[in-house]
Amino acid sequence: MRIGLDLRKSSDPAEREALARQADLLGVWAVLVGGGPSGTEVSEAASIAISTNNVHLAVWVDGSSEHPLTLAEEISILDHLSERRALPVIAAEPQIITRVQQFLDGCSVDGFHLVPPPAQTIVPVWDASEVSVVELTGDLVKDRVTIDTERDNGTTHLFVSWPGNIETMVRHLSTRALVNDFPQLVADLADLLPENNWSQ
Amino acid sequence: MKIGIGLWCLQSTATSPRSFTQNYGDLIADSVLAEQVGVHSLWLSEHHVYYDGYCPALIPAAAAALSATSRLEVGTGVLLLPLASADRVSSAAQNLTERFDGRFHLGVGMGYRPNEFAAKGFDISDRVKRMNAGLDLLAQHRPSPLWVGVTSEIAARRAGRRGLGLFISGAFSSTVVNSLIEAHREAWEGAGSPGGERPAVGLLRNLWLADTPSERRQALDWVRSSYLVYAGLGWGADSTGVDFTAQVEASMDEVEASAIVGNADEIAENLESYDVDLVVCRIGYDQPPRSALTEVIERIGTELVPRMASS
Repeated sequence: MRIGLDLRKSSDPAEREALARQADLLGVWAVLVGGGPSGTEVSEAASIAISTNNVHLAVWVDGSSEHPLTLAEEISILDHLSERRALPVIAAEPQIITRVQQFLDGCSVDGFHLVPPPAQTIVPVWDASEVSVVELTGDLVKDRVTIDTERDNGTTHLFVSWPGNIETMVRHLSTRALVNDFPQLVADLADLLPENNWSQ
Repeated sequence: MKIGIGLWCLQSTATSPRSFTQNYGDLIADSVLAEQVGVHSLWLSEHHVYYDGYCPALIPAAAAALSATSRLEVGTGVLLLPLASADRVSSAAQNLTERFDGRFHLGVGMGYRPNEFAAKGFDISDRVKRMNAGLDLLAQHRPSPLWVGVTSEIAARRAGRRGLGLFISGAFSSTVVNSLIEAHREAWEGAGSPGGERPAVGLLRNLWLADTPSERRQALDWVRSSYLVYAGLGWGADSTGVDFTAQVEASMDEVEASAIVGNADEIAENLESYDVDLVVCRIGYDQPPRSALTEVIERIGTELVPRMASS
């Protein structure tokens, strides 16, 4: 199971962007933004795109407020700006989600095609109602149980809101989520290692 | 007079095919360069469902350019308002204004391609009604500096009576430009001068800084050929009387006649004849190699901007 960082609990765009940069450096699979006023979601993801290199940009879009072609166009441009990292999560009726996916797949929809096509060969459009999102507590003992339960129940991608240091989350939980026999000893001992002072 | 650059359309055309992803990377690099050399603003342009991928989503592109810079202002020149939810556009503009300390400018236009309206589920016959409703909403909320792209006196009056800025299309003669400015001003005054301060006037101008005769001829050829895009799009400027589709050569001659190609002194002298607040130097042509584009951005910033600072 992969862990993505849900940034929507922060109300400060600058803080969300800073957290996204940190997540990017720490190898977090994805960050989740959006959920604000309609029309602002993809532009925030675009800002994060140019200050990060690897993290996927999951963007929660209100799909009921615009034409599916407009949504697909915004996602396509985000995919180019981010160099293939766009991951749309759309909150809308299933038929709208299907039409956005068809545009992004290169299909003709009502006789029209999306131009430019996205950078990725396939952009997966996720139905917001099916996306797994949990709120972690910061208590690693409790949160380990949550992660293990999600993973063992077959969740493949999980977005978490996390109240603490991202490095701690990555060390103890993103790692743990990947396999069902994570050697906890390694994370615990890593906490005890002296800080790396090489740069000083 | 402020000096901006435009129009970034981010296309891959039949004449100059290129990577879309590279185009968007170049947008960021060009924004950073423009800021470094002191250019006031960079302007983006929009179309939909056109074969060359002409940028269909300006807000995300503007957000990226604003994020990469700290002083450069970024505008839409223009976003096609009747094709979008005006509420959503207003929210997006407000968001960019707040996040980037007022560096975002929202320029809007009406659109003219039936295909674009059909693709979005609208009837093109409703475009004036949708444009007026959208302008009323934007004029009420004022989410950012607002500009209305115009090609006719009717459109200029539409902007003026709402107290909105004027963004004049690029291929007009000075006579037409002045008539549009006059119509805008009269409409603003006739409506009781909404906002109290005369709304700004921006002018798009086809231009290029060049020194030798061969460079000047090359630049003019780039200007001419760029209008192949608009011939394909079916654009005809209302005030020129020229049909870009049916009269391609005549159209190119018209465009060439309005272009300003020369050294910084020559261009400055020409621009000073216009009573405008902002000139957007249209340099985002289809054919110039990147080295030529980055050189002209540098020259606009280092040679033209200082000359126009006191105008």
